[in-house]
Amino acid sequence: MESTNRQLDMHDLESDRLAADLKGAMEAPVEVPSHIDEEMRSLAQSSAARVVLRRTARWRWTWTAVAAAAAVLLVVGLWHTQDRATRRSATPPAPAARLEDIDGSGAVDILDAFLLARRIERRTAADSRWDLNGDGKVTQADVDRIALIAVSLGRGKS
Amino acid sequence: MAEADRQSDEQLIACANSGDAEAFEALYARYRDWVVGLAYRFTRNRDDALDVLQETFIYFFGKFPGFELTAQLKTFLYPAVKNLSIRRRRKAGRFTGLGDAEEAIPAKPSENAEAARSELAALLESLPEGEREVLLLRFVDGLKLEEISQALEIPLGTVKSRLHNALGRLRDDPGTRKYFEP
Repeated sequence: MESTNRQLDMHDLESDRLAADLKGAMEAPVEVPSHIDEEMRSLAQSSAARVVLRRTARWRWTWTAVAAAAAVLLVVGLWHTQDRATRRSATPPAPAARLEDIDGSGAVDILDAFLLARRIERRTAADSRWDLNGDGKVTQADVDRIALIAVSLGRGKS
Repeated sequence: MAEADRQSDEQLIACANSGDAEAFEALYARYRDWVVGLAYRFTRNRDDALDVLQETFIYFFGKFPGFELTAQLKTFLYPAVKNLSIRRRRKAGRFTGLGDAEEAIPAKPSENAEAARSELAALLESLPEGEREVLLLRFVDGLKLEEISQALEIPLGTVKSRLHNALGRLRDDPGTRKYFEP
């Protein structure tokens, strides 16, 4: 009986008998010579070696890139740190140090303390900036402060 | 190699992507006969089929590392074998036109084929190429309809339509009607 169902009958797709006979209707399988199997075995070996090489090269490039990036970061970091240190060292002395530089030599040393002490002794008009301890007057205490700074700076260099 | 034989295609491909030579060998062993048989189906020449076999695996192994199995492996290999076979037929001068190249050569009955199989083979020869191709992919190569669609790069509806027509011809033929009787 001719089927009027125009849809694909899924049951027909599972016909083992049809599958078996179709396979049998095909030409007998081609026999593969052993030398071709050997060549394919060599191909398998070389393909595997190529895969390992590519994976190693990929890792090598990855680590090279990581190392290069780390080196760049290190250089940038060192430069930045050095730059900050240089700028810090070029910063003018603290205002107190400059104020202690009584003779304006550019350095705070014992001579500044001596000079201030002599001006106090001679009751010479004192610059209010020499009130280094902020007590409202220029006295021996301010001289002591300069002496202390001079000693703590070693050679009194600012 | 025995261990590799027990592994699924997905496992073998994962191993091959890691550079395991045994996995490559196992994949060859598993699909060798199917590939060469399919190549012969297209080329109808033993030597050409053997060449296509080698070229297919050279092409396939060249996809590693990085090959991803998204469907049955036959779905990936089928168009490769077909295209390599067509190219080989062109080179060998057995191709006289696009129609010839695209045509899967009809199956011939083996020498010891039963009468029913001979009738089936003869009917296969009479089928349009597209219908014969999907019929063989389904019943001989065991691909699902979706896999046939992927392998041939045609819509699923076209696969169903071609199969429906092919089975309809078999059902209508007195010699092959028995396959559809309960």
